[in-house]
Amino acid sequence: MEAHNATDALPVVRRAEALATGVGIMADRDGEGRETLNEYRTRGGYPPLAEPSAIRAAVRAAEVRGAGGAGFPTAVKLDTVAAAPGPRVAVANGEEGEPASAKDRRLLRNRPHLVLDGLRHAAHAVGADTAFVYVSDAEAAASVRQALAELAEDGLGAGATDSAGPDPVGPAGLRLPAFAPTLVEVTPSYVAGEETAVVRALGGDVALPLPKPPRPYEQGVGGRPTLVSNVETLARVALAARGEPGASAGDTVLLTVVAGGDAWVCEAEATAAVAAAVERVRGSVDGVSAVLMGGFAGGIWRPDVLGAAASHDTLRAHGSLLGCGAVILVEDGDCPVAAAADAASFLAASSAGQCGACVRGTHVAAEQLIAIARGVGTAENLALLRRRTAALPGRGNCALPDALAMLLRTLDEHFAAELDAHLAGPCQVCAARVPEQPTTATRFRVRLPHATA
Amino acid sequence: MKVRIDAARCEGRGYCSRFAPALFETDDDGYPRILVTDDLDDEQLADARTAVSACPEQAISLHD
Repeated sequence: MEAHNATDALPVVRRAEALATGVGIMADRDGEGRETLNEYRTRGGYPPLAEPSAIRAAVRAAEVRGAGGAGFPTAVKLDTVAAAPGPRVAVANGEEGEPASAKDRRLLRNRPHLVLDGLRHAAHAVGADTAFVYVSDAEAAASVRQALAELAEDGLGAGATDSAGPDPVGPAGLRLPAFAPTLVEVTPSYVAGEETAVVRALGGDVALPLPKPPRPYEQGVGGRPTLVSNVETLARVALAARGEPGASAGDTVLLTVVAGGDAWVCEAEATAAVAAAVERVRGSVDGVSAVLMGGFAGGIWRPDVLGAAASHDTLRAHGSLLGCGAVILVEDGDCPVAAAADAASFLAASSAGQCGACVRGTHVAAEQLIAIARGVGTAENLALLRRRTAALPGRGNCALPDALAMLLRTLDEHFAAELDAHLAGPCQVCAARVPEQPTTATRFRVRLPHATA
Repeated sequence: MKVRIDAARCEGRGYCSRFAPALFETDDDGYPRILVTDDLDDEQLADARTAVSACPEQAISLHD
């Protein structure tokens, strides 16, 4: 049966939903289609730049956190790059490697100027003289390209500030450093958005993770201290820098909620339960038997995890991760073991193939789970799965083995009875939906149609 | 100083855990994990230097 990788069976983003409270990235502009430069400017976009230290202070006060997965405090990153010897580089990272995440693509397609304005503020805040926008989604790239063309036509973009000194005054009265980011398109892959892979790709090399240290903030593109920030993070930097009234830019997060063939991108309050966002878009949290949190990085949980607040700290304290904000609901009639086997299969097949520990370890682990799910596993497979799971963390140049370890460990902890049942007899859902071998064709890959962009 | 492994260079030969078992442990295939991720003390640093020179793939290095 090939249903597990049929494109027409993949979840589709049905709707994007802002918060009714009027705060956040999506609140002040949630129309369909791409926001133009003029539209963005009428909403306060591209304001005069404050002093770098003032921008960093505003980001610190707003408590903006990295929205690419790690949730690292953005102000700390800005301070570190700013303190490193120049010249420096700033990168907007829009390569959304998590298959179940669509929020970055949607943001780039829908509000490219908010991201570019955030990059402009961040570049100024760290004293970067070079900036990149790094994306893989073709429509997101087209949106950014058009936005850059609008800026150039307006006199604010490439070449417009060549003759001016530091912090020149642009034709429209905007104080601009030479802001001419280069758009770089990369072939999509799970690891291509990892920060050292980004740095490597921008340096003309392959988009594969490097060992740390050094981190990009110490030694990045061309050996220069480099700020690599997720595009949602930069959108929040733009909001924080212009002091959006009513709420701080770090008060909300973007989520991608996935349930069966449906998906939604929505903004959520970081102090409210994840369940509140799920109820807004899906109607209720009923009929859910398991939840994959943070895409494939935060493990698989009983539905009560939805009671945790949609914040990095709360979910981490819970033992999970907010990660990129993808929340996958495994509905009644589906099977948590099948869902975990699908994600494990994807992660193993997504290994970049450069670290032996990851190539071997993830494949052996995923193969044990696939055997158990498909009804041909024994207690030996389960024992090997457990041993491999314990050995996975910390053995690769990136966190892919750690993500798989979290998934397998939480499956064992929270769904032990289901695993035992699969050892005892075949599961129809798994027989139909779990691939025979690791494959990148996950059934949780969210499609973002043009109509919702 | 901290010790670092380039996992992409490592071939799982296991010299690191043999020469510095307090700093590295290996999985079923011989691929290592670093046991001490903080700054190393003098004794650990000496062991780490041995592992650095023993690794045939030059996958281990020391960093500030």
